[in-house]
Amino acid sequence: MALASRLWGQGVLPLDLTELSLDELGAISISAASKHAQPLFETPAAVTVLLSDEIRRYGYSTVADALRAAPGVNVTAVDNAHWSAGVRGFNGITSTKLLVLVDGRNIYSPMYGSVAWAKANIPLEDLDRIEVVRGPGSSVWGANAVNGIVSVVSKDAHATQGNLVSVRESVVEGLQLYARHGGQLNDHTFYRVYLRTSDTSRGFDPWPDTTEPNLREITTGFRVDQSFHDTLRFTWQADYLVQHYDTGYVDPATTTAYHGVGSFHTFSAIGRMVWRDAEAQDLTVQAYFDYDDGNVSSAGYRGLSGGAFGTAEDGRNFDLDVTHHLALGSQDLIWGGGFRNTLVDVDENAQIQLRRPRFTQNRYNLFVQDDISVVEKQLRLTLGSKLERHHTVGWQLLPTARLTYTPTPHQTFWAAVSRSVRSPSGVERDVRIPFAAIPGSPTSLPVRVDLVADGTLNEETLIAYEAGWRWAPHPRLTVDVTGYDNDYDRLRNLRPSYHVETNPPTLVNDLTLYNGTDARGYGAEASVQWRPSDRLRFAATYSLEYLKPETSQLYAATAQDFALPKKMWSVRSAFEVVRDVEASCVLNYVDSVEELGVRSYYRFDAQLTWRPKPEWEFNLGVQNAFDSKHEEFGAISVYTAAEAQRNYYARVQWRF
Amino acid sequence: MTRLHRIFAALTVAFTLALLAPAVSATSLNPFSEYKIKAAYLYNFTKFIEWPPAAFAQNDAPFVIGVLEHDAAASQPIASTLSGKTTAGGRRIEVRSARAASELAGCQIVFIARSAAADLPVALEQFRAQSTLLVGETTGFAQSGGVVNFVVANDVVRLEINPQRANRAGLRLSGALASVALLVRDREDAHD
Repeated sequence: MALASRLWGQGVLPLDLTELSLDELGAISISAASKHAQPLFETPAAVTVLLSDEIRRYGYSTVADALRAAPGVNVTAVDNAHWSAGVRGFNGITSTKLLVLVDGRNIYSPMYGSVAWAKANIPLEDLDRIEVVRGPGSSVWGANAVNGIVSVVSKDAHATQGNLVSVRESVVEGLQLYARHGGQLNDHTFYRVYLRTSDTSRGFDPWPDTTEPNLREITTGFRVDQSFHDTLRFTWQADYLVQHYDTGYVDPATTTAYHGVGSFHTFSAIGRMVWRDAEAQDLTVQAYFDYDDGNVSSAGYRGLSGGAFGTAEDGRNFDLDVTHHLALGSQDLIWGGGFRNTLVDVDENAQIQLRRPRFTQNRYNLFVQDDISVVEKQLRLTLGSKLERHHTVGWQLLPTARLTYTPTPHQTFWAAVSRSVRSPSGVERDVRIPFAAIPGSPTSLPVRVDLVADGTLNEETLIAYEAGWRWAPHPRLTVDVTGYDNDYDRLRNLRPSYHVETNPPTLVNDLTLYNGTDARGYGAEASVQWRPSDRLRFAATYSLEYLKPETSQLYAATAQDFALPKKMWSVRSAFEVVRDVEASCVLNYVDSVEELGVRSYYRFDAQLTWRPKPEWEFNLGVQNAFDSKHEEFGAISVYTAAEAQRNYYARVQWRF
Repeated sequence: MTRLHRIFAALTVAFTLALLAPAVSATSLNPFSEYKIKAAYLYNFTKFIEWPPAAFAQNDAPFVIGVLEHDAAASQPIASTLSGKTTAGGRRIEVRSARAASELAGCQIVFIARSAAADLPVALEQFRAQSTLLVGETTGFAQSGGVVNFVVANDVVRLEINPQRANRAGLRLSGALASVALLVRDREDAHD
C-alpha cells in the first residue's frame, strides 16, 4: 500500500539539493527531485517522517519508542512486552483508533480492535523510515484509520548488503543481539537474512522473586528485492517472531495481583510487485499472509490482558491489494481495491465467555482518489473515497476532500474534511467478562459487575476538520503547524442494568457496550526542524489536545478512551563534538493523565556515538536520566502497569 | 511440487511476462535530476572527506571536481548545481569536464560518468600516486579500484564506499558519511 508521502502528493518547492543532509539525500526519490519537490512539504495532511538515521541518532531501541520523536504521539510502555500509543486521544491500553502498517501489512487486531505492537518491532538496523499521519486516512486505508496511521517501512535488500553484527547491553533492558547478512543472487536480485534475540525486562517486575528476564524474543526473516530495468520491482519478504513474557493481572473479585506468563508466535509472508511506466503510471500489487499463535496464562486470571494487545489469540489473515496510479495532465488519479480474509480463534476460559470464539470475516474495498491542479503550482484539490464492506457494519463510504494552497514556494496551507469509522472488534460484539466484585455482608447481597457485549455495537464514526501550515524560510529550517476539530458520533460507552442471580445469590450489574456517546476532540500540533550547520541540528515538537465526551456517565473501561495528556512537548538536538564523535539528547514532557492516575513526567535521553572507522560504531547512552522511575501508563482495573526506569546502555556495531 | 505451488508459479510467470514487455522498452528515469542528486553528494564529499594538504597546489587553490565523460550528460547538471558553492574550508568549487583522464590532473574529485566507465583502468593509472577521490556510477566500480560508487536502486541514489581504497589514496572518511553508505571491498581481480 502506498506511503502517505507518495500518495498525497509532493510539492514544487525549488529546492537546493546541496542543503539536504546525507540521510535526506539518501531518501529523496529521483522522481521527486525531478519535480524539484521537497518530500512532504505540500502534503495536505499532518505527516511526519522519521528517517532511520534520525531514530538511531537519539538512541531509541524499539519502533514504538521511536514514535516519541513525532509530534502529537503519546507513547506509553505498558509492561515488558507491550506498548500503547495514541494520536489525538484514545490512548487507552489498546490503540483502538490507530492503524499500523508494517511494510504494508496491517497489524490491527480485528478480535480485540487494537494494534498488536509486538508485530511492529522490526530491528532498527533494518528500518528505513516511520511515517506518522495524524488524522484520518480512511479514504485510502479504510476503517480504523480514525485518528492516525503509523507506517513502518524496512530498507530494501539492496540497502543492506554486506554483514552487520550489533550487540546492545543495558542495565534495565538486558542484552540484545542482532546479525544480518546481505548478498546478491544475480544482477537483478538482492537479499538479506537476519536474526535478532533479546532478553529484556523494561523495568517491569511486580514479583521480586522472579529472576528470569521478563521478555525473551527472537525475530528472524529474510527479504528479497528484484529490480528489472527500473520499471518492474518485486519484493518477497518473510518474518517470524516468538516472544515469551511475564505479565500481571489483578483479579477483580479479590483484587489479588497474579503473575502471568504469555507466549506469542507470529509469522508473515509478503509479496509485492511495483510496475512503473516512466512517470505516466504505476501499478502496485501486494499480497500477504500472516499467522498468529498467542497464549496468556496465569494462576488467577488469564486471557484478557494479553488480548488487549492483540497477542493472545490465534488468527490468520490473507490480504490482497491493488493500486494503480495514473498521471493525466493536470490530474493525478489513484484507484485500487482490496480483499482481506481473517480467521480468529480465541482460547476460552472461565473468565472470558465468547459466543463466537472462532470466526472468519471477509472485507472488500474499492478506493479512488483524484488530485486536481486547479491553479497551476498554487492550488490543488484532492478528492477521494474508499468504499468498504465489513461484515458487522456493512458498506461504509469513507470520503475525504483536501485543498492545498501554495502561495509561494516556501509556504503551504492545507485544509481537509474527512469521514472515518472504526468497526467494532470481535470482543466488542461478543463478550462477557467479570469486571469488578464487591463481597456481600449480612445486610446486602454480593455484587458483581460484568462487562457485556450483546452484539449490537455498531461503527463509531468521525468527521474530522483539519488545517495546516508549513513554512520553509530556509532549506534548513521548516515549521509545521496543524489544527484539528474532530466530531465523533456514537462512540462506545457502557450502560448499566441490574439483575439478581440466584445461585449463589448475587446482584449482577451488566455494563453493556453500546454506541453511547458523541464527543468532540480538538487541538493543535507543531514541529520545527532546524539544521544551522552540518554539525548541529535541532528539532522541537509541541501538542495541545482536548477530547470531551458529551456524557459524564463513563465507566472505567470506556473512560480510558478519553484519557489523554493534554500537553506534550519535546526538544532534541545532535551535534558533532569532535570529528567522528556525535552527542545527542532529547527531552520529552508529557502532561499528567488524571483519569488514569498518571503524573506528568520529563524524560531525558542522551547518547554519545563514536565512529572510529567506517566499519565500527560505538554508542553509550542514558534514558530517563531525570528520575529513577516513573509510570507512563496507569494501573486500570484488570492490569498492573509498568514503570519506566532510568537506563544506561552500550552498543557496538560492526560491518564487514 | 504441489498443485498450489504450480498454480502460484504459473501466475508469477504469466504476471512477469505480461509486464516485462513494456518494461524493457522504457528508459531510465530523469537522468538530469539524478545528476543533481549526485552533485549534492559530491558537494557533501567536500565536507565529509578530508584531503591531505598536499592535494592542493596552493593554500587558496580551488577545489576541482573533474567529470570524465564522453557526452555532456553529467557535467552540465553537476556544474549548474555546484556553481558558486564553496567548501567548508572556503575553497571555491570548480567543475571541469574532459574526455580523457590525462586532462584532469590535479582534481580532488574525479567523477567517471557512465559513458566513460571503460576508462577506469587508465584513470587508476593516472591518479595512482595522488589523493584523488575516484567516484563512479557503474556496477562494481568501488570493487574494482574506485573509492565511491553511486547506485540507483528503488528510485533513490545510494553510496557504495571502499574504505581500503580511500585509505590508500590518503583520504579520511568521516563516520557520518560511512554510516549512510554500503561498505565494499576490492574484488580479487581489481585493478591495482
